[in-house]
Order: sequence, then structure tokens, then C-alpha cells
Amino acid sequence: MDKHVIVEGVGGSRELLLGNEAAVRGALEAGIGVAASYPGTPSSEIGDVLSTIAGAAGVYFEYSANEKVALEVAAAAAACGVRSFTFMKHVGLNVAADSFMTTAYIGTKAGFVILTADDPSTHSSQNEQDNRYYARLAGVPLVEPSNPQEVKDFMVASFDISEQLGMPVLFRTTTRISHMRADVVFGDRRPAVAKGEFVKDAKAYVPVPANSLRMHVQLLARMDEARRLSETSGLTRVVDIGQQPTIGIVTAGSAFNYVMDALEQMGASARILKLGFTYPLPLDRIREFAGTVEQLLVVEELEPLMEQEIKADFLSHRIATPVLGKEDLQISRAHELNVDIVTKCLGRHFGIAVTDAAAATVKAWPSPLPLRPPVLCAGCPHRGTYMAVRRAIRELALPEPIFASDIGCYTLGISAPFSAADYLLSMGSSIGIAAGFDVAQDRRVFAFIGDSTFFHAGLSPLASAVHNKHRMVVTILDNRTTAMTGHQSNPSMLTGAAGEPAPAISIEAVVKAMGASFVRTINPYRVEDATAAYREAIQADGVAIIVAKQICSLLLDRAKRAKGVWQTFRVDAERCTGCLTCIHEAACPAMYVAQGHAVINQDLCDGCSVCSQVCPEHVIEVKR
Amino acid sequence: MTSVNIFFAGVGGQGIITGASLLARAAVALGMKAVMSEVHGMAQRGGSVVCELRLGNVQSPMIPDGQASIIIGFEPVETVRSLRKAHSTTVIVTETRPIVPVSVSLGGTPYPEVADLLAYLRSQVADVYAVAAADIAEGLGMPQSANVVLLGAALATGVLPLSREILEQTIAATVPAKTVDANMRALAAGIAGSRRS
Ligand code: SF4
Ligand code: SF4
Repeated sequence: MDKHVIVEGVGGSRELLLGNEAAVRGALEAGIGVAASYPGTPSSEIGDVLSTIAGAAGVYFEYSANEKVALEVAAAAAACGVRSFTFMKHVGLNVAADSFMTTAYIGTKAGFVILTADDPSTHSSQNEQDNRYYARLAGVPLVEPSNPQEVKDFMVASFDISEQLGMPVLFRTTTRISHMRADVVFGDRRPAVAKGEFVKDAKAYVPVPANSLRMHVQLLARMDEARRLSETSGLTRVVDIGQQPTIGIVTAGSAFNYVMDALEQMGASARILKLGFTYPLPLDRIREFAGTVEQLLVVEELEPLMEQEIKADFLSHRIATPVLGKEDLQISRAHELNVDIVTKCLGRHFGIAVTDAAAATVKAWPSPLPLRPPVLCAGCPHRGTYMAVRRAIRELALPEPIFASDIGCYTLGISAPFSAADYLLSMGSSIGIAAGFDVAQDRRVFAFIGDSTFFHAGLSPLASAVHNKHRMVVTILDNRTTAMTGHQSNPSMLTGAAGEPAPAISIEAVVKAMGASFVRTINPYRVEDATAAYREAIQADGVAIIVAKQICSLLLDRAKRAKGVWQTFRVDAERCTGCLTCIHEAACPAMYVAQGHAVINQDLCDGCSVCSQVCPEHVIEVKR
Repeated sequence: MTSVNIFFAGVGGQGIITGASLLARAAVALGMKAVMSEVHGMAQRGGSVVCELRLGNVQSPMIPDGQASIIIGFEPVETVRSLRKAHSTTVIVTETRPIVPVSVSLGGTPYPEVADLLAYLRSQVADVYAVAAADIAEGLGMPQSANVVLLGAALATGVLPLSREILEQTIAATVPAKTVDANMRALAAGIAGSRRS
């Protein structure tokens, strides 16, 4: 699909959109003028679309160095009267949280929406935190859609709510909503307004204590008003399923979809209060709803937030209708829900035996199947880096070091034979963690961090490590892009979000200025040179930096295809001794073993040559 | 339930999302309701990948266990791995060429014989269509079109509520202009090469 449809599509037209694409359409229909983000799955495609179409849409868009900066860009633009949008993955909001918390105090002039894309079941994340807590922690309204059409419609509504209340709105999706594709009917676009005016008012914008004390009181008053909006919001609706339902179900987001499909499967009846404006909860409305049914079930993914608030409210209002939630229905607080889980839990409660169609007839393969976890791509430059690290450690007979890893494709170095990830917390955490390992134990410490991650949250830890005289080997894996999330720009690149020229910041110059004791740039495709550099770095004192510079192979592939230069490697089976050094050192997904010899899958080989460099028999050659 | 549930399974990088989107677009063009669930992010790096497409009046794109109408497997082990979505009348279309995970070469669980995998599929469901889609695509000089070959094979089973014409129109309207012909040939080859086995 041509992404420009999202700008050019007229009101009334329809398009099969990903939830994330629908978010962009909604923001455009709301007339945003400024948007900023740092990429993170499952929110990344929002930026992929915006970076492509922002120019055509008359919107300013940037990839900021991290989520906190992105939120600040959007907050200030909104203070100028420009509708502004920032979006991030759930853990990105942790990074932005410092400023986010205060935007609730300061409020906003123009509509300001902060999208958080949560990742229950950690498809692409380090945790499955429930960001509905953030709405409660900061005191901002929360909106949750259930499908792409609602993503689009609720986005428009969220900008209106934000402006009406004078405060930012938190818009929460989950992976299954962000990555759901369905038909979306477009509305009309409000013209984008990218410039406004900032009217100075330090009392309103600078939370020194005298002001912040007052702001907090104002925030509470705005939240009372938000509650009134939630009580009558059109984003919340009642759906009746079947005849004369006596059971009421309160639900929202993905859970609503599963409830609907589960009821259909069971042929059961229920009255559903489907919440769209989910915080503050419309408690009057929920009480009234409870009056029309005999019992109230709360079905929500992750934490029992709605359940607890409803139970507390019913208790204080002496509402007799029983409320059943997580424990009563045996719905886990961990991991995402699906139709099977909800059918089972509701089926148990409704007393409807749900036959497991699969178990009845089809049996799984009787023994374990080979696992296929994600791995470094064939041709990935990180492979050469990790091979060189392992070689240098072996050559120096260094006792097994400790590897602090970070967030990016290179986290996949966790797998054998590299086994180069021992501890990981968050974006940019590798260097701080390495500092802790350096003081609290005696083995040598390595940190691995990508170029984009380094600019995101690696700069201050590096300053801290140098200043506090720590000893570590830091590898900055500079693949000239933000690869894991789909190749977005970052400050080390010569191009900005839309591919336009931008000043690149030299990683080498930065780390030298920060006082690194040893700085060396390597080409990870040259295993021997890279290994020699690591031997030196390991022997250096202080913070030794290796910049492993080689463009992501997926990007290089595009260039190679365009130029028509493509080579692959093959193993000369006659001369291969079957020692498998190649596979045990490179572990490339293009290689496998057949009849005791290494074989290279010609469909997958990227021609990076690193396997050929470690073959002791020199029998891996360019295929002629 | 009245939906047609199409489950795709394969390995990151095989063009699964592209293939599934083509079916979804074709269905929408016929006025059907389509919901689809895609996988983006870390899982795409050569790991097991699934994509779920449901046509009909459902809310969630995720197919309940045992309720796939058809499984389109892009790799034999991944096809077998997705059997939890099958019941005895599920139709299975599977690529026969394996992609051996690197874990196998490093001493992990061995890769089963493809013949055994196919025999097992046949023992579990009535209709299995084993297709050498990658070979066919290579024969056409377009190795990247194996996904469209598989779509052709799936179409020929008659389970998809789609006509060849609408799928051709969708492909023509979606893929880059210079690859339309090659994709049409891939689709035709898939339809021709679809045989119950
Ligand atoms: S390292 Fe060389 S000789 Fe050893 S298995 Fe690989 S190709 Fe064969
Ligand atoms: S040259 Fe070797 S290591 Fe590089 S992609 Fe090909 S098989 Fe893999």
C-alpha cells in the first residue's frame, strides 16, 4: 500500500489499515502540526508512516534522540497552540516519565496526545508493564481503542478531549491493536496547523514550588472534569449480545474483542459495557449499568485496575451487585489474553462446556520440534564483532568476562556460541551496569550498545563511567541505523527522519571528548583485525571503546541489489573436513550440516565472508 | 462461527505478511470483513513467525486453537508447529523445502525428515497439499515469489472464499509494476502445482 493514501484519502473512503497506520490518519484528521517519537515496537510503524508523509501532510515530524526529548518537543509545540502528538512503546514512557509527570501539572493549550503502545506477552520487549498505571500516577485521562477503526476515531476524539480539559491525553494501544489490520473508514481532515504562538506566562509554565502547589490543585480539578466527560463519553458504549442477558461484562481494548468472540463461540448472552474512555472510570455509569444485570464481570488484560476501582466504589456506595474479576474468573495477571483463554474462563463461569476442537482430533508432533528463536541475520555485522570478542578472550586466556548488554538487534548475541549477554535492564543500561560489575567483582567487564541506543541513553552513563574511573570494554555497535525497529534515523546518521540531509555526530569524537582511554574503530567483517583490536582493548585501563562500524546488512542488501552486485559463499564439500569450526564460531542461519559437512544455503547467504575467515582449511569460497 | 480462518506460519523474512495482506485486500475488495494480525519487531529476525487472517464477522484477528480453516505453511517444521490451530477438516498447504534453524547445527533438537513431517500432517488432517513452492519460484527465475506460489496453491484448494480474478486484480494493484507479470506467473504456477498428497 502506498502510505500517501493515509494523507490523500478523502472523508468516507476506506482502506485496510494497520492500527498504527490508523493512528496516523486519526492524528492527521485532528489537524496535528507537530509530531515526535523515538522508535519502539509495537509503535514503530506510526513513525515509519509519518516520516514518509509528514512533508505532504504539512506536519513537522522528527525522530528525537529518545522518548523524553520527543515528549518535550510535543509538549512545547502544544503550548504554542499547535496540536501535537508523541508516541512510544510502553517502556519508552518510563524514559519520558520525568517530563510526562509534569505535563499533567502544566497542562496544555492545544490538543496533546501521548500514545503508549504496550506489549503484553513481551513480543518485542523486556517487560509487560501495564501503562494504564501511568494515567493514574500522573493524573491524565486515558483512552483505549479495540481495533484500527477505533484507533482512528478515538485519536480524533482524544485531541478534542485534551483541548477541552487543557491537559494531555494518554492513548493506550497494545501489540494486538497496533498490529491488527482491518478496514478503516476515513473522516475529513482538519487542516494541519504547524505554527502557533507562545504567550509567556511563567505562573502557568514554570513549576517552581509556589506554582506547582497551585498546579496540583488545578490538576485535581481538571481530573474531576475529566471524570464528568468520561461519564457521558461516546467512546464508551453498551453492547447487548443474545437474549435477555443477566450477566454484565465491563471490558476494554483487546479484551473486548476476545469477550465478543468468546460469547459468539459459546452462544451465550451478556450485556457488555465497552469502555473507550477508561480513566477516570465512569463510575456512575458503571453503577447504573450494574443495576440492569445480576452480576458484573470485569475482563481486562494484565492488572486488575478497573476491577479494583469498581469493587471499591461498589463497596462505598453499598451496591449489592457482585463484581467478579481476575481471581474469581481465574484470569491471569500475566501475559496477554486471547479468545481461547477468555472462552475458557467465561465458559467455566457460565457453566458452558467448551470443547477443545484441536485436542479432540489433532495431536501435536509427538517429540520436541527444533526451536527457531530470532537470530542475528545472515550477513549481520554484529556476528563478526561477537566472533572477534570470543576469539580475543580465548587468545588471551581471559577468565570468562561479564557481558552487560543493551536493547537492539545485538541483544541476540545472547545465543550460543556468542553467549554475550549476561545482564540487561533497559535502553542505555549496559554502561551503568558494567560500572557496577566493575566495582563489585573481579572479572573483566564488557558493555555492548548500539549507535541509536548510545545517543538515546548511553551518553550520561559513559560520562559517569569515565569520571568514576571504571575499567571496562565498551563496544558501540554502529550499524548506521536503528535496525531492530525498522531502520529509522538517529543522531549518528547523515540523514534525518525523512531521509533529508542532517548533521551526523561522530561517535568517535564524542567518546574521545568524554575521555575514553582507548578508542578504536573496527570493521567487523574483518575478523582478524577486529580480534587484534579487542586484544588491545582488553589490556587497556579505564574505559576502552571499540566502535564496530558496518552498515546493517539488510540496508547493504538493498544497495547491493540496486547495484546488481551480489555474491554468496559456498563450501567445497570435497575439501571440507567437517570440523564445523565455521558453524561453531559464526552460527550463521545460512549454514547447516549435511553428511558431516558444512553447507551454505544459497538462498540465505549474504556474502559477508566471516565464516570463510575462520575455516582452518580455507575451503569456504566465493561461489563462481 | 461463520468466519474463514487463515493461519500463516513460516520464518521471518519469507514474505508472509505480504502474502497475507494480498488475501485480506482481495477479501475486502469482495465486500468481506477482514481482520488480520501481523508480527513486527524482534520475531522477524529469522525466528518462527505467524500471521492470522479472519474473514467474516469476528472481532479478534487471532484464531482460536483448532479453528483454522486453512493453514498455509511456508516451511515444513513451522507447518507442523501450527497444528494446534488445526482440526481434522483443516486444509493444510505446505512448502516442502526446509529451512534448518542454526540451533540444529549447534547440537540442538535435530530437524526431522521432511517426509516424516508430511506423513504426520496427513495422519492428522484429511487434506494436505505439499508444494515445492521455492523450487517452482526458482524455476520461474523469481525466487522471491515463493509466497505467491503458495497463495496460488492455497487458492486452488477451494477453501478461500476468493476467485482467481480478484486475487489477480489485487496483486496487479499492489505489487510494484515491474513485478506484476512475474507474480501472475507465480500465482498460475501455484494453482497448477497444487495437488493433494
Ligand atoms: S570450518 Fe571449513 S573445514 Fe570445517 S566444517 Fe566449516 S567449511 Fe568444513
Ligand atoms: S558468508 Fe558465511 S557467515 Fe556470511 S552470510 Fe554467508 S554463510 Fe553466513
